[in-house]
Amino acid sequence: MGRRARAFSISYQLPASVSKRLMAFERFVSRRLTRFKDFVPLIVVAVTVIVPIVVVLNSVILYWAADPYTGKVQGGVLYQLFGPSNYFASVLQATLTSMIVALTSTYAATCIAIPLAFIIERRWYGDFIRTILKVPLIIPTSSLGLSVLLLWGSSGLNLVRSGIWLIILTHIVFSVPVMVESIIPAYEGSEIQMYEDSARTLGATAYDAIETVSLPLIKGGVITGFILSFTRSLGETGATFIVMGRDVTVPALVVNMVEALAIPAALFTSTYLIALSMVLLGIIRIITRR
Amino acid sequence: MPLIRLANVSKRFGEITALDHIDLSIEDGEYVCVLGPTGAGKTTLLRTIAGLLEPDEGEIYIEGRLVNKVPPEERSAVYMFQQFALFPHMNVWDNVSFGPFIKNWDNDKVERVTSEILDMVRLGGRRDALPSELSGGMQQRVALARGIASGARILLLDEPLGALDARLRVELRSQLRRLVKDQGLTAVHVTHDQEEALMIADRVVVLRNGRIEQIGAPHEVYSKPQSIFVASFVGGANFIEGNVAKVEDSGSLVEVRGGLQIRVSGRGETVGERVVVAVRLEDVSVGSGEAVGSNNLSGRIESATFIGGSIEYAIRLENDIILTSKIMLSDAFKAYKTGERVVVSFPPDRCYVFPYPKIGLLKEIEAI
Repeated sequence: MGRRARAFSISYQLPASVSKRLMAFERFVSRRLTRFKDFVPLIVVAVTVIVPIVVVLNSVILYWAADPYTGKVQGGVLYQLFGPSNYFASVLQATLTSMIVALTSTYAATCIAIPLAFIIERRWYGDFIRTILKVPLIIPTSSLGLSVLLLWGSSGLNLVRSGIWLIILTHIVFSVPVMVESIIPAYEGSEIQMYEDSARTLGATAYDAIETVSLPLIKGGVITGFILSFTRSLGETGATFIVMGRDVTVPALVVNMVEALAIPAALFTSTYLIALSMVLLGIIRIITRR
Repeated sequence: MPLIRLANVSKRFGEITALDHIDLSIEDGEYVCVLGPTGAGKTTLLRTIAGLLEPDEGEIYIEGRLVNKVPPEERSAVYMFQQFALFPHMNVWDNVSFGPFIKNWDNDKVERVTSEILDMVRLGGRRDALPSELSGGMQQRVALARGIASGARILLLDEPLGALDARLRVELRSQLRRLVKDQGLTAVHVTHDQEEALMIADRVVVLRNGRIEQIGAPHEVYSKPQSIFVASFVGGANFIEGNVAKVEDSGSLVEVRGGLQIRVSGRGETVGERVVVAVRLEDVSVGSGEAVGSNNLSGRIESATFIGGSIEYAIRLENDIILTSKIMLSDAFKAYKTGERVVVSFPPDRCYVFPYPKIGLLKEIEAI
């Protein structure tokens, strides 16, 4: 990677006066403004992450009973959730779908990714597989959804109908590379081969050695990958929207609501999704802490 | 019947030949040290015995059974890495009981064997500690205990003392040997430290570029080196180039640069043959007075280096050859100063004569 970057680097020359000033400024910054080095990233985080969440929360409160500008009850969160459109039932249904999808796809991806990581590390074609696996991460998720639909759906192999199973399948496709990329650093950082060789000469069969030695050593990577792909699966919208059929996930429901101009309901669901993610991440942290 | 036998074993990695037609037999209960410089193929040899590498050619027998295709877990040979490779996620007890556990011995036996061996290496009190909480010496003991507990008959030790600090390394040499002997095990110990090999082994195998240079008891390898390389790598020596001037019944005369003659009692079959004479540092004695007779050569002290229990003098002879002499402090009658005129001497029967190497003397020694 480094070598390639060097090969493609463009040589450029700034005018002497500009480059001198730039250097003077950089020196000034690095000497005098060191206490700001923590400050700037924190501001960026606040502006891009925390403020939007606060805005959403605030809007939900404002719109809770009625539209604050027109005073109409129909424009309030409560009416939209429990009124004739009964979005609350949809939210519950979507939650169930989302949870099933996220858990199943992440679990399946874990089962696929662990042996894949070993193959990538140990076989001569490993690098090739690792590169191929990155494709689902690069292409737009909606294209990914479309390709999955075309392959498995009614116009392709006709094996899986649009719906929850197809969503799971799609999510597995992008969860596997996420898992693999988290496991590989754990693998490379722990001299697995030496420990496995050691276990083998102590009397462990190849399978026993992996189970008792290698898997525990990459546990950290697996947990990281699990959290990353679980949260990604929970929030994924583009591909899900294309393959979901009638089984709506929570983020897709938000899109549906916005399209139906039920903005207060969408705001509520977003808040709900944020809270749900927080709770799940908390649970995962508690389970994996030790 | 030897416990381990390698017949004509070769292993190549691309262009590099790591093992070149190795023939080696190791008896039951023997402590063998494989000695050689970095890249000599020592670790490859050990890994092929363990079954972690498959040889390209040749056969490996353990207990008389051909094991080329036998996986490592069925060879009864434990491989101990330089870094000990204690499983970091298991405590001392789980590490040591790994072998018995994985071999499905019954619980009572696992329990008994593990605690017995832990007590033997004096780590009974640390059974709940994680490897990262132990000192280097303790980790080494756990690794040994783990190997012994697995019931293996062969210990393959890859620089087992290499990861320890210098003092501990020396202390643990004799402990290691005693433990192996007490347990009736067979050990193959790889090292690049000649002192360690000579001290610990029943037999030393000197390896170089994938070939065995010499096999023998430590004193044999030291006092009867079969090649320039062995003389230089094991113990070190002065090397003097010359030609055989005269062959007699009691030995021969070698003429070196500047017309000086050295009497040697070794071989040197034909007059005029180009040879290298090797003299151990400690066989060169230094005295004052006149140069008389054979192997009494006069020169000047070039430098004197004090190294603990001994002094090393570099002496420039009249013909500009520099000899190094190592003299124990207790044997040193007087300390010579730089520039002082001295006479060096070395007994003819302590001179080793080798034919001049084809690739040149420096290249031959350089391989270290």
